[in-house]
Amino acid sequence: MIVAILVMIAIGTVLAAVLASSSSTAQRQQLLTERINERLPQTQCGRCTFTGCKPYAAAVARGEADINQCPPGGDATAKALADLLGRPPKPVDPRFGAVLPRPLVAWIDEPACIGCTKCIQACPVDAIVGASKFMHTVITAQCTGCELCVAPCPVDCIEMRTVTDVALS
Amino acid sequence: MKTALHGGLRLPGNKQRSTQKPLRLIPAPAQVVLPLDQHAGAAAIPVVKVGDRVLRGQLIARAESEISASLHASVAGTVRAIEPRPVPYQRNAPSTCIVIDNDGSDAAASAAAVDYAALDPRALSEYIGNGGMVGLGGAAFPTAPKLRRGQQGDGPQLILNGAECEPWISCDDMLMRESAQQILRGAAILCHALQASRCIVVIEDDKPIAERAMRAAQAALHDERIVIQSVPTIYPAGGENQVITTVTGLEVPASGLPSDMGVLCHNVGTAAAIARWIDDGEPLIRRIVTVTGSGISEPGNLEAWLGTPMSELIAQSGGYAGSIARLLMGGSMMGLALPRDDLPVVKASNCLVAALPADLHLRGTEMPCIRCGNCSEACPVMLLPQQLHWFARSHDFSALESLGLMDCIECGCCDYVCPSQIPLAQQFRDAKPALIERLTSRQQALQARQRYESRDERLERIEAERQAKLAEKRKAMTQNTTSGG
Amino acid sequence: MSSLLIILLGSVLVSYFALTTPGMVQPFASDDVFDGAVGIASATAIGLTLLSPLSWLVDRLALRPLHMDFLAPTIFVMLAVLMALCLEAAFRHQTHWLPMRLGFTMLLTTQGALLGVMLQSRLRSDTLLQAVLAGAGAGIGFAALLLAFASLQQRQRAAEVPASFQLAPIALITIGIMALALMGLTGLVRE
Repeated sequence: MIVAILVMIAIGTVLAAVLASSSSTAQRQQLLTERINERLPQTQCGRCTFTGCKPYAAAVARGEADINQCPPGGDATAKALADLLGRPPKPVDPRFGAVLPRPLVAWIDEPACIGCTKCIQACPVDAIVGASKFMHTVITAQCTGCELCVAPCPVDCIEMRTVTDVALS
Repeated sequence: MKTALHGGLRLPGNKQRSTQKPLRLIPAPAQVVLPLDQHAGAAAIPVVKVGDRVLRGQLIARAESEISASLHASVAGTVRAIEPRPVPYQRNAPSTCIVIDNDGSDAAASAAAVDYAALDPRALSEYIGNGGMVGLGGAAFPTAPKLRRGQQGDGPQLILNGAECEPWISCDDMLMRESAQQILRGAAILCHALQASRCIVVIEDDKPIAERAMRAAQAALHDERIVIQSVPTIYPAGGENQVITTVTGLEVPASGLPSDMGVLCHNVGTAAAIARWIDDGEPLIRRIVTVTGSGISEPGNLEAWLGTPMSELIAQSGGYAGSIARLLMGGSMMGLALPRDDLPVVKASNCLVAALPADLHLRGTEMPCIRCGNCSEACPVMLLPQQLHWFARSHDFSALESLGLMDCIECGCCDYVCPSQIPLAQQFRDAKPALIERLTSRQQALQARQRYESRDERLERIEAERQAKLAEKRKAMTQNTTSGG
Repeated sequence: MSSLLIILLGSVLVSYFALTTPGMVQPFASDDVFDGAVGIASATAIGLTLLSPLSWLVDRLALRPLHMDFLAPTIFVMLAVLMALCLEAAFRHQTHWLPMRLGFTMLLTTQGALLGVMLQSRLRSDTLLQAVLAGAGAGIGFAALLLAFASLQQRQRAAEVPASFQLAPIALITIGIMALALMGLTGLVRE
């Protein structure tokens, strides 16, 4: 009987030691962040209230953000994240922005541009080409539609248009 | 080593009616409409303006990118307009076309024969591209980039596709009967362009007259490189990958091209057009169109100038015989139903079928899938149409991707055998753009992420350099102060 | 043989429901059910192959000589927990299957199979080699069954199941038919 109790205590101690040392949440967080980031559209727009897609992914991995905060990804991204994390799917929260039926890209009205480079500095993916006092133009193929360039323009010569409109103009 | 085709269908050919009379060139119409994007790849860029006078065979639009083809005027006259017009292939909106009014002069641009053997393969393929050559089997893929890809190996095997397996179409049959020598001449030119050691001409065994004509021409030519091979008649044995498998026994892999395996396949019509360009200096400005169907009074094969309205061809064939159910461009399996008959003849127009209900395998109401598996037995590409159907319905794109939806050749065999009348080929055609969009957006997201990360790095680097400079300046200032005292 | 089959089927059911019902215990961060199933299947197969001889050794070397047979279930459960933790540590170091903390460990530990096999091996195997083979065999069987159910689940998601049959009812019907099929195997080995 005594022997039995002592054996149980010994096994319990061993297991406790194993449990205490086996945790490495940092690496797991990093891998999970990577997985989540792969499923995000990489628009880098900040509508989710984080400064980019990777910070949002990290927040979701930590449990600080919900899975439905990404309007550019739409319901498809929310569902993909739900499947990944094993949670019930939910539609995009309209408080973070509207889900657009068609993707929009930025377009610069070139005659009105004054060459101030404010939009170039704002673009998170370097999709605007130009230099100080030189014409600025948007590389449509690289534009993710984040709309961060629209506000800084002092002469309001940038607007969002559909890709077909840009091609025809 | 011959490999039998997996699946496929034995269909009534319906080609007898249109092969009774010899080929006939119809007169040029009063106006031609030439779409700039009538080939696979990027649209051609016009080199003429409205009001210009052009000659027959003159270059009117140039190929500006890797996969594109040039365009030539099929009549002499004045450029009336360069504007969007409806076209007989699937586009989201009317395509930009060059419209030329025929002035009746039939003045031809100067044309010179070329000694192709004196050109090196690169120069020859470029010259062939200058003639506006595209595949005339129906897909209209530009010939020059295809040749360039084939030139990257050493001495590929050339196959000329004279199978013409789809019901109703007989334009290649008539071409082989009447212009066998021209086809073989084109084969010799292609062999030189590709440095090919062998050329196999494939003909289905339901075309005995054409086969005899080709064999006679080949015997007269004494070119050992060229071999005529007969294959069993089964639909869709004439598909490019299917022909390659039947002739060489090799299977073209899902993500690969025939040129990767050292094989190149061209249509017999393309070969004949190339021969005409090299020998007579005439670029691709006309083609043979089969006008047939139970709804045509005098079916036959007509050689028409590109841009001719299809109503002209129907009028030249005796007009409609009754009220037709559908007008198809192409055959009864893969043809496109046209909404109107005044659309222009394009490089891909191989056949017009004015179909009465009896000609079509019309389907009844769609019923649920009973999982019988007929579709999988019939599929020539060995896909699983039943699984593709279920996953297409539930929009499961990753499953569609892994089951090979992109390899579907849209032949319609699964459609034909489905007892529940499910329009399978149509579903797959609809699902493909959605899958492609998913794949491209994944690609774009990856690019955007890379650009974002390199921009981040650049900003950090600039900031670090700035901090370093400031730190140095601070150090220099403190040294000055301490030493200055 | 049939008792082993029942144990295996029961465990497969638990894993199957865990993998396929959203909101339940999530063993892996993966959106493909089949992928997750491959992870659990391989983890359990490895676990069984290792645990069976381990428990046999513990039994022969410690429990029987010390007349502590009554401790067998308790000690084996602890061994199972240990094995689940070790497996999670091993899985954490590769990037394809990312184990989710609670889900993975709980799932492995509650695998009735682990316990069942260990007890069985203690009773039935006379040599260490037999114990290893019994564990390996059970592991492969479990893996095969779970993968089969996961593939069925993938097709079920695409199929148009009537509303009243969705999720649990159709899953149970499918598993029932699979069980019927597998019962045909029970007469193979004379016990």
